[in-house]
This record gives sequence, C-alpha cells and structure tokens, in this order.
Amino acid sequence: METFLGIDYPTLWFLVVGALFSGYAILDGFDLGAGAWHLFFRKEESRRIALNAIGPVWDGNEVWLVIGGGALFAGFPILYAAMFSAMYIPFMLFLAFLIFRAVSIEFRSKEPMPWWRMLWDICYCISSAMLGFLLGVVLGNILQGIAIGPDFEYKGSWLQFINPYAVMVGLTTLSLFMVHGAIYLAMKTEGRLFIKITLLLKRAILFFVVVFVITTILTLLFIPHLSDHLLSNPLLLVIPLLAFLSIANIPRLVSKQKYRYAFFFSALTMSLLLILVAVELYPVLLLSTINPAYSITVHNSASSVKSLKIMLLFVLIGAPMVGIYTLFVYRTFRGKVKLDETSY
Amino acid sequence: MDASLVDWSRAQFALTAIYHWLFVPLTLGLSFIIAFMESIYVKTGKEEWKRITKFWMALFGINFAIGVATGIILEFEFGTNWSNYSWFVGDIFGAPLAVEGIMAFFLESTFIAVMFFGWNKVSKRFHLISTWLVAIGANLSALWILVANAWMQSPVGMQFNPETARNEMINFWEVLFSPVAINKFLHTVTSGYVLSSVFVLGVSSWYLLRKRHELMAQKSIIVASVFGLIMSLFLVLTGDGSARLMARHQPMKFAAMENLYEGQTNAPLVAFGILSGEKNEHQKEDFLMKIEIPDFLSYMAFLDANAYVPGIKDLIHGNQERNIISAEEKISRVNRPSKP
Repeated sequence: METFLGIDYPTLWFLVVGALFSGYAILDGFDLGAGAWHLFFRKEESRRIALNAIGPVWDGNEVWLVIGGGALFAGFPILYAAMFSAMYIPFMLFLAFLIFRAVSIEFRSKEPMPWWRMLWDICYCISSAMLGFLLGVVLGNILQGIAIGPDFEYKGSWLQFINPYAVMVGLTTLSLFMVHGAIYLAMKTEGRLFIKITLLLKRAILFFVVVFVITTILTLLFIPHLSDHLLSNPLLLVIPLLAFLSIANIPRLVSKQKYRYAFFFSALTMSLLLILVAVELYPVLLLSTINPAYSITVHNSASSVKSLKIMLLFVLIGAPMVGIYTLFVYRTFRGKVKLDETSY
Repeated sequence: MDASLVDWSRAQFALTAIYHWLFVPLTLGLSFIIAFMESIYVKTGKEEWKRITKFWMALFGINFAIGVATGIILEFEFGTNWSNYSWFVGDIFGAPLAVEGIMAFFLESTFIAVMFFGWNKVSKRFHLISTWLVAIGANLSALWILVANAWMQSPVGMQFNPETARNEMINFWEVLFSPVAINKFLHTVTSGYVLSSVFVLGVSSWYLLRKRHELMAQKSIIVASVFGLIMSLFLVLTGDGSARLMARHQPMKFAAMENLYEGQTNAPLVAFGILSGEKNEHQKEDFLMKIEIPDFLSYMAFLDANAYVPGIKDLIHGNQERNIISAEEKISRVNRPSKP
C-alpha cells in the first residue's frame, strides 16, 4: 500500500478526521456546555451575557461538525453509510435539537415578552444539553461496537443505541462539556454572575469526576477489547496517564483562578480522551458485535488512494489558513462580555 | 424493501433540500450586496450607509443560520437515508464536500463572527475585508457543492470498480473542471445574485410605498438594481448554456422537460401549452393546446435549426436511423458480469 511519511493514506485521513472531530468537541463543546447551564442563571441580564459569550462563535464552531462529517463521508464512505444508517434515530434527534438550538438563539432576542424569552431559554438549554448527551451516546455505541452483519449492513434493532453503557458515556460527555463551558463562561463574565459560575463549576467538576470514574470502571470490566492495545503495548499507557493528569489539573487551576489555563486543560482532556479512543480502536472504526471479522476498519472502508491524496493536498493548504484565522477571530473577541447594540 | 420507506425517505430529503434552497441562494447575492454597501460606507464615511449595511446584514444573518442548520441535515441524510448511495459514490462525491468545508465554509463562518459582532472591535477597513471574505467564502462554498452536484448529472473522471461495487476517482481535475460543473456554478450564483437583487428591491419598494425608511430604501434600490441588471444578463447566457449542455449530456431530461415524445428535426419550441392531464397507451401526455415557435428548439439546443432533437420514444426504444441505442441496451452494457 502506498504511504506518505511512512503512514498509509487511509491512516493519514483517519488522523485528519480525528483532528476535525476533536476540534469540534473542543469548540462546540464549550458552547454546548455553556448552553446547558443556561437555566441555572435566573436573571434576564445574566442569561443575555451567557448567551452573548458564545454569540459570535457558536455558528463557526458548528461548522466543524459539517466539515468533520464531510471528511468522514469523503474518506470512509462505507463507514459513513453503515454508521449513519445504524445510528439513524440518535442522529435524527441530534439534528432536531441542532435546529431547535439555532432557532432559539436567533429568535430569543427578537421579542421582549417574558414568556417568549422563557420559551426559547428552555428550548436552548434543553437542546444544548441533549446535543452533548447524544454525541456521547453515539460515542458509547462506537466504543462497544454495534451489530454489523456481513456486507457492512446494520442488523440490530432501532432502539439498540440506548443502553446503560452508552448512557454513561453520554453523561460523561455532557458533564465534561459543562465543565468546559463553565470555564469558558468564567473567562467571559464578571461580578455576581462570575461568582455563581465558579460555584457551579466546582460542583460540575466533582460530578464529572464521579461519572468518569464509573464509566472507566465499566469499560475495564465489561468491554475488555478496549484495553487490549494498552496491555500489549505498555508505552501507550502514557496516553491515559496524561489524560488523568490533565483532568487532575483542572480543579487545581480553577482553585487558583487561572481560568485560561484551566480551559486549555479541559480542551486537552478532550483531545487526549479522543486519542485514547482512537488508539484503542485503530485500525477498527466500527466493531461488529456479531463477528469481529465483519468490523469496519480504516482500510476496508477507505476511499481510493487517489481521492485521499487530492483531499490531503487541500488539507495541507487549507488547514494552516483555517488555524490562523480562527485564532485571529478568537483573539478579536477575547475578554469579558459587554452587551451592546450588536448583541443577541 | 418496503416501498413506502423509500417514499418517506425521499419526502424527508426533499423537504430538507427545499428548506435549504429557500435560504441559501439569497445569501449568495446578499453577501455581495452588503459588501458593496459597506465599501461605499468606508469610501464615503457616511453613517447612513453603515445603517443600510447593518439592516441587510440582519436579514443575511437569519438566512445564513438556517442555511447552516439545514445544510448539516442534508449532509447527514446522505448517510442516514441514502447509505447505499454514499457507499456507491462516496469516493468522488465526498471529495468536493470535504474540500468545500476546508477551503470555503470555514472562511465564511469564521469571518461572519467579525462581520456581525466586530463593529466595535476591529478597524473599519478590517471589518470591510471580513465582509468581502464572507461573500467570497459563500460563493466558493457554492462552487464545491455544485461540482458535486454536476458530477451527479454528468459523471466524469471516474471508473466503476466491480470488485468493490463502487465508483472510484480517476481524475479529480476532470471532475472539478467538467463543463457541466462550471456552467452549473455560474448559472446558480448568477441566479442567486438576481434573486437577492429582487429581494432587496422588493423590500425597499415596500418601504417606499409605506413611506418608511425612505432614504435607506432609495439607496438600497440603486445598489440592488445596478447589480441585478448586470447579473441578469449573465443569467441569460449561463441559462442558455445550461440547457444546451443538458441536451447533450442528459437528452432524456431535456426531452422530458420539453415534453418531446417523437424526436424530430426542425423541432419547434412550445412557448405556451396546456397538458391534457391524461396519458395515452405510450404513457404520453398530449397538449390540449399549444403555441409553438418553429425550429426554435433545434436551434436553441444545437445552434442549428435543422438539428435532430431526440424524443422520449427514441431514447427508450432506440432509433437506428439516428444511431440512438435503446435504454434496455444501455443498461445491459452497464451490467458487466461481476467477479465472484
């Protein structure tokens, strides 16, 4: 098989898709997390500040999902076909909440009536939380594998996606997003709202650590295939170790009120956990619970090398540009939120 | 498979596509109109132009947000509703979608933040550059998506691999620069420009009639009418080219569009017609009445009044005289024996 820098093309594209999805988790993670806190704030002004903290960036963050999805489609069409068809219900729910959330953000500030704003506040908060949860549920299903038959067709039932393990991964994801979102809001707010957020943040960290530990124990006990690679290659143990250190660093930095560093470490935690997932699964992308031989792997689901080469060329040109202007725009909007006439 | 399942899937996809396409074409042109208005503001420094820019920007924003939301759904539905299609064409169809994201959509959606929320945070000049980048990003997005769409209409640069039952890419540049893709892009964006101009003209005229915001309405009309007038000329050209390409690449679509059952030379163009509503034994629906322009269809399709335009019947049953093979034979040629 043709390689570039010693890595074959499907694997390179796997890294691209992984980078895009961890970019998505880090970026949309904080705005979904911030949204999930929305109803915890009581005053109208607090809610407006919290909403405007993500105002300029949420739409751009969501675009990472479009691009991650496009990259998955183009690079691994067979995985795209099998997984989206198998996960039809969670994805459709996900899309519905995505619409409700976008509409809530756009509509909320268009009318001043309290009932109107309350309606969209509830809608916004629930859909933000559900989006985080559903992403985790899908991840939980990927981790334990799904009922894929020969020819990569889904053989399970339509409700199989909802199971205890997937729910636990969903809660872990949601709570990590909420920690991430609260840290972001702490960077963006001041005064009493800021104090309230820091209190919520401490509780959220505690909650996250508890669910994370339970999920980890469940994984080790019931899904042994997820620790095979680590046990056969102890060098890889560095990744979970780093992830634990990174998680432990969040409460330390929060208590020192260094929120920017804490934000960096909650972002790092997400990438490390996703890298851990990737290392554990590779080269399998979607494990078949019927017969491991039916599993979808990086190699049996990839596009042709020609197609992957062309796309990698565009990524090499495009990615640095994207990085530069994304950083630039985030710098433009750094600092505490001040409501003005352009606000939501 | 249950036939109604396919129908529901089609209905769902159609609804999403319709919603997507209600909002997106407007953003293609409105982004340029806003960029023109803001350029005037930066050049002249007159505050009223800033107000005008912001007014249209708000309308652009709603369209953009709904465009993104429906766009994500469309993309996901290729997997959820049409998973075999994704399997069959992902190698080629997926590439422009992925490239679109990296090269265009990121640009548009990142700078949109500066455009909406950056008025008090960045310099006037930088804000103007952001607005232009949003417009360019929006139109580049359209380019890549239409490359994917054009490939569905006229598949080039590919080869079917019977072993994997997938179409595989042979030449990306052929896909990108296929004449259908270029024409589709130009025709779609110019349609978007004309649509946006008409939108701005319509809203402004309504304000004029109501005698509200009259100054804003008048100035908007100037920008939109100049832009719309120029673009409508291009629209005619690209539309003509689009139909001519279709006559060559998709003769059946062309024949169905013109309700041309029997192929003929010197084919007339039906300028106006009413269908009978009943099909005859060949599944053909006749005109109750029609007004025809003689020779015009042949001329428009092939730039030759004597040219032969194949009809639906020729394309289904074949026409030896004209060297057109039947649909049945075409299918049998595609169905090469697959390897065990």
